[in-house]
Amino acid sequence: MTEKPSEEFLVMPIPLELPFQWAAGPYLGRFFRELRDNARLLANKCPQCGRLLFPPRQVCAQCHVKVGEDWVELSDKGVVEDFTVVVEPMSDPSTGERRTLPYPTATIRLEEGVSLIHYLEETDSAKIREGLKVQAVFKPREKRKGEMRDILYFRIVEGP
Amino acid sequence: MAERVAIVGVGQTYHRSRRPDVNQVELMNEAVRAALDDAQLTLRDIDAVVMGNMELFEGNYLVDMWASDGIGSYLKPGMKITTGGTTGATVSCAAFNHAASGLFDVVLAVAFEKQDEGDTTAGLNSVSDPLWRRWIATGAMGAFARVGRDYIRRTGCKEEHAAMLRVKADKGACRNPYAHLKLNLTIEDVMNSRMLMWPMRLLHMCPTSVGAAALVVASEKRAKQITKKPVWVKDWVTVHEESATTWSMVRPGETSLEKASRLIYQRNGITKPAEEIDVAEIYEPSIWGELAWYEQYHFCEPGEGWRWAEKGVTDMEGEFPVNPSGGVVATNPIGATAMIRIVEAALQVRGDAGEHQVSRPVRTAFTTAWGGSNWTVATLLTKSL
Repeated sequence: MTEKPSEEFLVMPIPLELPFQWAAGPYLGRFFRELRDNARLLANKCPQCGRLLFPPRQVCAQCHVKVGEDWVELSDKGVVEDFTVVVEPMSDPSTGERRTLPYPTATIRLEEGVSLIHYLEETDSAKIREGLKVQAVFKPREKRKGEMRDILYFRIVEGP
Repeated sequence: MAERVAIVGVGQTYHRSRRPDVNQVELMNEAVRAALDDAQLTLRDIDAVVMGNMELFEGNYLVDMWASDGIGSYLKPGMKITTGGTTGATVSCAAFNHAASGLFDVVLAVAFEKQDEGDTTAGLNSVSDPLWRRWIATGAMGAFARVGRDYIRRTGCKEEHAAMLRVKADKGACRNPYAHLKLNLTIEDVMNSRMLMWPMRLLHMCPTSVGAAALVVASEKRAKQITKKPVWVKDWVTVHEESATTWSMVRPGETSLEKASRLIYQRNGITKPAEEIDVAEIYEPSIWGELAWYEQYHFCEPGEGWRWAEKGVTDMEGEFPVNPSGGVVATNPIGATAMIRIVEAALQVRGDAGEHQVSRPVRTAFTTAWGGSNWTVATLLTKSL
């Protein structure tokens, strides 16, 4: 081999597709069933420290005890704890679909003190502030599948 | 711990956006050769090899199956470790543990990332809880935009302060031959860079880099034989957060950053970190993390970080230099990034950091890693035992 090595570097495309299916388990499973069937949000309560676990789960990570069946129905109302408006193109990692821009995401603290991250209906960042009161808007029953997106978004109901 | 251990060799690649000229194994090999050269050892001297990367970013889940020729692990013990952003630090700790156990005298640690071969944000989003919040995940950008918003709201910090620290990082990177982004930035350049999600701008965020790093770690007896300038690994610690389903970097209560640094200071009799530590290489995927975390590492009082930025306290020539290498916002080959903190801190302790050697004499260096596996890793390196 005396010929000069090529300067061309080859790159091999690997268009990987790997489908998965995840079990929700009894606790998160009950949460998603209630969300789907009755548009209700549930948490369960640690028997030791008394905090609400949201999402509901089997064990309190802080107390190392089994949480069990002490279920609490949560309000669908809360306040915007913090927010941002995403303007950068991003894909939904579960589906690969491009999200419609711009979209606001917010941490919403429900009346019982637990928080979740979700969309806001309002897309104009000038109209969004921390402390705004918001309420969940659910998809209609026939469109709900038992997943977080059964909540369409949170709608502003009142300023701070 | 049974045996005291030292870093006796460090190596890293030149970090770039793309490296189509080498494959993953060849990239690792560059860092391995550099570390062995630095230690003036050969693979014959290595008793075990620990390696890691963030496998989701290359889509290659058992990279150690391919890597033995590049990292020299053929017929030797060792393991692969993946812990997200902390991978490089976790791999380093595993090497420290191997040597400290007394079972191995000389251990090679290797970490890399080849981000030109996958989609990092898609990979990172897939570490979110699949049923609870993966669908809304916005990768590291969303997480650090939240840190920035919280810090601004809580302390009265202005966007200029983030820009000051970003310019400081760039000054370090421009003097660091291995750094990826060397931009000669001004405050205006940072303030005018593209908004990603308020208050996060493009230049506030780390780049997607390709690169590798390696360490040679030895037990006390072997370390003294190998080099005149061993860097002693005085202590290392890992602290977990609660499950990522409830995870929020701005939630009240002690964070893993606070706990890990508090523990390592307590165990080593450090009561005034910014006085007793001479240089820190911290893991800041966004400059907002650096601003908000000075207080979480107990370097300064709560809310004082942006005042430090104004005064230049953490500049290379400052009273308490932080990230003279340019840090993660300049160079982020993810799996290797946390190991680069240790490599750079070791160079500072040895006095071998060249143009980015800090003005303050270095006897003690502190490094951190944060992120993946929802934990913080902290290490303390010293010049003498």
